This record gives sequence, structure tokens and C-alpha cells, in this order.
Amino acid sequence: MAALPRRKRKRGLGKAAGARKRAREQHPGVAKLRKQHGSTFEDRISELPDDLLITILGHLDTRSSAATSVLSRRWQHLWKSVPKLRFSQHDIVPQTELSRFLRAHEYVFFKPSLCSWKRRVRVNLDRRIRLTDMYRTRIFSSSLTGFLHKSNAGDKNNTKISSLFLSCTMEDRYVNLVDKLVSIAVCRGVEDLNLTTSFYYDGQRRSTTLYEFPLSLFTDGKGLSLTELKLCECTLNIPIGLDGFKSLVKLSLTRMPISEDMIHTLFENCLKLECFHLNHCWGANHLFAGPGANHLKIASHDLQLRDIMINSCEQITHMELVAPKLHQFRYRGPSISMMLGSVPSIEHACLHYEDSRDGESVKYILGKLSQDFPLLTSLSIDFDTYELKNPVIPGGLPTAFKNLRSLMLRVTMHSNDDLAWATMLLEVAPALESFQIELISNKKREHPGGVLWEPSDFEHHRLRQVKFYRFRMRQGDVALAGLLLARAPLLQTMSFFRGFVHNPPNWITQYVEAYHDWSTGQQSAITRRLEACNTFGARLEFRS
Amino acid sequence: MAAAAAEATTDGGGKMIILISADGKRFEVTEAVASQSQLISNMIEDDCTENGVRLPNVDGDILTMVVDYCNMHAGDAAAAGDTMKASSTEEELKKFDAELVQALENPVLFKLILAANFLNIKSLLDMTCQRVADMMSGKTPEQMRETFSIENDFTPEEEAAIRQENAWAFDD
Repeated sequence: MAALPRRKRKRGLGKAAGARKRAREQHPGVAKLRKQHGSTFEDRISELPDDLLITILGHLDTRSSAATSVLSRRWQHLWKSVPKLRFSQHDIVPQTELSRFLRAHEYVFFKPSLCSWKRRVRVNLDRRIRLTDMYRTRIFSSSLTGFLHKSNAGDKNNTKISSLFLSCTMEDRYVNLVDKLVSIAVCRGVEDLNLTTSFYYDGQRRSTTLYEFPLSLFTDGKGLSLTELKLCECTLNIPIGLDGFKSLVKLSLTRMPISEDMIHTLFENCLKLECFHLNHCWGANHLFAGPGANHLKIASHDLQLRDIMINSCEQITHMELVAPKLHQFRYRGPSISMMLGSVPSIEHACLHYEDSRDGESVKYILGKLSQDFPLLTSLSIDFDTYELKNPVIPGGLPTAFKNLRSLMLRVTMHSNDDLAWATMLLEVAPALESFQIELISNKKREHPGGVLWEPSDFEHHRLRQVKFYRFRMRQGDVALAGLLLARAPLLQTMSFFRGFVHNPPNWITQYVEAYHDWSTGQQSAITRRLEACNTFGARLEFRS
Repeated sequence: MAAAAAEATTDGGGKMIILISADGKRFEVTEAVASQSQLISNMIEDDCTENGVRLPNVDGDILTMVVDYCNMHAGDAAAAGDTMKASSTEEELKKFDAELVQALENPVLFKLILAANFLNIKSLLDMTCQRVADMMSGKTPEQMRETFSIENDFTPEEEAAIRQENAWAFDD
């Protein structure tokens, strides 16, 4: 047993390092000598106080942090005080034999050979993925089993556990292990629980059913320390009349079955809930099956809810909302009918309508939206007008957004579409200071879509900044830019970006720079075309 | 003189604060920048920053980095609510942060951790600790010892016993 690590050490280190180690093992005085010489050899990390080393270990997964016990006496017990448990199948980095094997095969990728190299690469890649997965599965299950075995065997260590993170492809044999892990975490006062299990891996499932969250650990006054719960691909079977989750502040459910009763019961119980996220959830039972029953109701005057996110839950068609403290509302999916009771504190909304053939979402945005959210200060909308079967003709100006200061519009449209309708949103937002618009054009069109709107001769007296993303110098784009320049006397800068705004499902938007910069010819062409409208002298800015 | 400077205000109207490092270097920063440090923020609340804030645990070169970091992140809290406004600057911040910690030699990194901990700047502490954790992850204990020059003071028998005890963390 003692010989094995030594052999490994030689392999892991460079030749010189190995020689240094050997020298030190022979002469204990060498270490002292080294300390006197260069500062680079000093063991600085072990000089950090315990609590900082524990903080550092908290950023590692539990297996890696347990492996530090062997570094030196100073480190032997530190990992046991880390208040976080993290087991992630996908974080495991293949080491030693496997990585050597993989390196060897990487070499083969570039070697000319008799069979087609493309096929070789594919075969090797498949093999590589399969081997990595086998390795990860083996290490994950052995570390989970090993850790639980230790925690079971009268371990005196009763450190508080603030968070538990588990991520794996679910297998039937893990069910008891995960249950046990959660129960240990609950006993030690867990606050933040994140179970990201996945049902399928590479198109194949490895367990017979979805993992059922051990709800009994959190009922009847147990598990009250829990404030954040994040679940992915499990089931949460909430009975009517549940008594639990009383301290929950954040709840996020991803790819899970949900039902109206479940949501109702949750909100009856979790009176402290501030953050509620649903991602790709589907109807659990008959309640979601029939038409008209796909009704999400979150309505109570006692709610503390500040942030709601509904992402791609396609069975929801109606939403009823009464939440006096709601601050932010984000929605992605097909257009739904909204019934907003009292949401007086709402400031930010992000709406991304994915299916708008019938024009319902366009009509909603240009109509009832400002009635539903009159107090917004920032709004981001994403929709398309190119798939509309018939052109939408708005009936008239909607009511005003009194406080709207920042508006982001992402529109997928036909390249010949007229964009004058976009000014309509400016006209109803008198306080707007920053207007950003991204135009995504789609050449294919089967129907005569678009929005028909003749702008009035309004003037906007607050607008200071306009940003065009993915600007392609089409007629409609340039006309809109000209219209904005002519109508906003206080406009300071109008920027033209070639790149686009990446809008991932988590709504953390990012600007992605274009590969090519604007050429001077393009810049002067745009400037020339806008010259006549730019009577107030706004600065035109070109960015890649 | 320090008192006079401490009273000075910028064009933006924010009050200026003088930070004094262990080796006597002076840094003038706005209250908004300095109050990212919970320690200094508390001092501002207690009104004891008049004659400059002495930081006996922090060297001048480390404090330069900390001040740079705080200057970069000063607008953070204000822009946090607005998802779109933050997007372009967020990129720059990430780049700045990555460059800040990537280039550091180990001893400097540890000094920065100590400073972030002393000044109680959570985001900087998180970032620097994450950097150390990144340097540890995916490594065998032997490689970790090598990276951080950690002296192995176990006898081979003791080491084998610990490996045996937590075998689940070592088998591969």
C-alpha cells in the first residue's frame, strides 16, 4: 500500500521534481535549506488561517476536498469542517490511466492511417465519450458510497452543512444513497439544496422512474433550515394539506411534472417564498390534460414573492397573478392569457414569445401589455412578426408606460418589413431614456405578415441613447433610425452594432461581437443616408 | 493634510476616503468604491474615517490591486437591477477579473486572499478562493503538493493509513 503512492508520485511529477523529492526523503535537512533560499519554495498556502483554507475547500467538490487530507498534517482534518457537500458526476476529471489512454488516442487522431481518418476520429471520439462516462459513473458511485459509509460509521464530526449540491445521471441504485445524503444534510441544518439529476444520458435512461424527492424529511416541523431548493428531473409529490417548506425563500423546478394543486399548496405553505422559477415543466396529471385547465394561479395578498420566471412550460395557457411585492417577471413560451390582479411593485419584465403565428402575442405587446404592467421601469421583449398569417393592424395607441426608462426589443421579421410600428412603443413611453433594438431578419415568408402602423408626428423628450444590434442597413432599419433621429431632440448617441445579443434561457444576456468590423465605406454610407434626418446632431457610433 | 484631503469631495459629490497601507502608501478613493469593503463600510457608518483608514495588514502593492478591483466594480451594485444595461460592461468586468487573478504568483494570490478577508470584500474573496480551488481541482495530492510547495510531513505509513481511511477519495 505504501509503495503504490510513491510509484504514482514519480509518474505524476516531472523528472527534476521527482529527483528533488527523492533528495528530500534522503536528507531531512534539505527542506530547511530550501526555505532559506528562494521564497518560491515556501509553503505559503498552509500559512493561511483555517477558515480561509476551509473557504477554499468549499469551492471544490467533496471528493477532491477529502483528498487534501493526505497533503500534510495541517490539512488532514480541514476538509471535514467544510460546510458544503458537492457530488457531481459531470465535474469528475479523468486522471491517470484514463487520461493516459485518452492522450494516446489523441495522438492517433492525427496519424495518417489506412482507414479514413474521419471514421477513425469518430470511433475514437465515441470511445472517448463512453470511457469518460464509465469512469465518471464509477468514481461518482464509489465516492458517494464511500462518503455515506463514513458518515454512517459514528463519525463524530457534526459540522453544519449549509449547502448540498448533487448532479448525476440517475440510476436505480442511487435512490437510497441520495435519500440518505439528503437526510444527513437535513440533520446538519442544510439551507441550500440543489439536486440536478438527469433521467437520460446520451439518449438512454438508466433508471426506471424519476427520482422522487424525499418530501417526508421536510414535513411536520423537520428541515426548517431549508431556504433554497433547486430540483431538476425529479418528482415532488406534494399532497394537499402539506405542512412543510415553511422557510423556503427560493424554489426552482426544472423539467419536472407540476400540477395546479401542487402550485396552490406550495404557495399556501411557503409564505416566505421570494423567488419562484419553473423551467420546462409539464402537467403531472389529469388537471393539466383537458383544455382550459392549464391554469397557473399564484394569487395571495400575503405573498412575499419578488421574482417569477416561467420558462418554456408549454401547457400553461392562463396565468393569474396577485403578488403585492413582485419586482421582476420573466416569461418565455407561447403567448398566454394573463390575469393580473395586484402587482404594484413590478419594475422589470422580460417577455419572450416563441409562437406567434396567430398574432396573439404581437397584439398583446402592442395592446394590453402596458395595461397589465403600467409601472415597469425596464422591459425586454422578444417576438417575431414574420410568421404572422395576416398583418396586424393595431387599433390605436395603448395606455402609457409611465415609468419605463429602458426598453429592449428583439424582433424576428421579414427583411422587407416596415419598422415604423416600433415608434409606437416610444410614443407610449414618455420617460424612456434608453432604447435598444435587435433586428433578426428571416427571408422565408409564406404569409403576408408584418405590423401596419403609421407613426404620428410625436416628439420624444427623454430619449438619450439608441442602440441597434445586428444592424444590416436594410431599408426598414435605416428608415427607423432616421425616424428616431428626427423625433428625439435630446438624443445623444445612436450606436450601430454589427454583433448580436445572445439571449440564453437563463436570461443573462451577453453581447457577442461580430467577426467583421464596419468598413469606412459602410460607415459613411449610413452616415450619409441619415444625414438629412439628424437635424439635432446626435452622435453616430459604429461598433463591431 | 490627510484630514483636509479626507474631507475633499469629487465632482460626483461622493466623499473621498484615504486608505493607508502597512508601508505608508496612500490611496484616495470615493466612499462608494471603499464601501465595497464591509470593514470600511462599517467604519464610514461609525464616522471614523476622518484621518484616513490605516490598514496595517495590507501591503501597498496588494492594496493597489484591491483598489483597482474596487474601482472596477464600483458601478456593479447600481447596474445590477437592469439586466440589459449591465450586459456589455459585465463582459469587461469578467475579463478584468480573469486577468487580475490569472497573472498572480502564488504568494501574491495568498496575500490578496488575506487582504480580501481582512477588508471583508466578499466578491474578491470568492474570486481568489475560486482561483486557488481551480488550481487544486483535477490534481492528485502529489501534484497539489508540487503546485503549492506543501511539505509532506507524514511518514509513508501514516499517509497510507489516511488513504485507507478515505479510500473513496483516492481510488481511480
